[in-house]
Amino acid sequence: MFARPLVAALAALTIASIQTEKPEILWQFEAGG
Amino acid sequence: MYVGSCNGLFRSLDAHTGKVRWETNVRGKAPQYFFHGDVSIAPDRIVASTDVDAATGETAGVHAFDRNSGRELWKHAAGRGVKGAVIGAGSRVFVYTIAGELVALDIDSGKPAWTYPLKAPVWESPAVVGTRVFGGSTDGLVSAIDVETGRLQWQRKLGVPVNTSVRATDADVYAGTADGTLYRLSAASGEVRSSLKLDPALKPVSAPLLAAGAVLVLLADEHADYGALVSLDPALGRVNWRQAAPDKWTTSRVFESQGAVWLGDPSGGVTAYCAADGKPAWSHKLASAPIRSIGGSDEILYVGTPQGTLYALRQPHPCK
Repeated sequence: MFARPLVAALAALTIASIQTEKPEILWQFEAGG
Repeated sequence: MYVGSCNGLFRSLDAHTGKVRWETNVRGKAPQYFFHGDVSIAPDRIVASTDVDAATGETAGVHAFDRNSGRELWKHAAGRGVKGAVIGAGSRVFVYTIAGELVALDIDSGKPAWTYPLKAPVWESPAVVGTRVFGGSTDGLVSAIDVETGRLQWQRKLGVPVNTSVRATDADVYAGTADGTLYRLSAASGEVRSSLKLDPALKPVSAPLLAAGAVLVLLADEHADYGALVSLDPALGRVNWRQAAPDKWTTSRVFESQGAVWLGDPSGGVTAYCAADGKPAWSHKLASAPIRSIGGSDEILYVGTPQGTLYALRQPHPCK
């Protein structure tokens, strides 16, 4: 009964620790496949 | 920066703008002509490996290009060619050919200094330290060969196919085998100094990376899908950490920069895992296609897809 909120909180902490901000794309080039 | 693609074009791009400095076409009449392995860069030239479908009638192998103009300086033709990286040391470059040879080429002329028969894993590459070049083979041997003469110095039978590129330090040689084990051999004698079974089903693949006081190695399943990344202490006494791919990774080598290991996935995502603990620290969906290759410098990440799109990103520093 008490375990579930704890697991949810830990999962939220783990997700929050991963940064997801968009990187600055300096350029893009089509080299052909 | 330099990039080769599957259409036989090898290019030099301005690293900061992406503008083409030069491009050279080496595909001949073949519709596709592949640059797969890492290149070797010398002060005045760049040496790259190529492979081609034999049905095209073309031959592939090793090409040297002038770094300033892109002019092809020489080509060493080797049948279907070379899929693995070109390893440079001094006045020589070394490759595994698809045909089953370890070849030493003179970097000035492209002429073979020597060849040694070796059934190497064709996507992989040898290692060179000091006077020895080290190679692994699918018949379970690790061999040390004299850089100058091509003569065998020692050979160690592991009994299981070598599955990875060989990497070496002054003292140790690392090779992964198809039974999921990573070996550390004495560079001087070939004696097995230690080994560690990494997985009962997955096997080490690609080139073990010796960086940040650890050995990093990718593990793949029977379909050659990359499923886990393992960090080991250099003595192979323990696993520092192991990180499983969320699904699988599609980048075929371990690239480490700024304390992070960068891997791509089938849905176009790029993720940075901290080299210290293996934890994911940054992730972003960059493309709608799988990510095939990641490389770069301290400041810029270059990310490529099989469709030929190349992205240059300012490198985040999530593990600092």
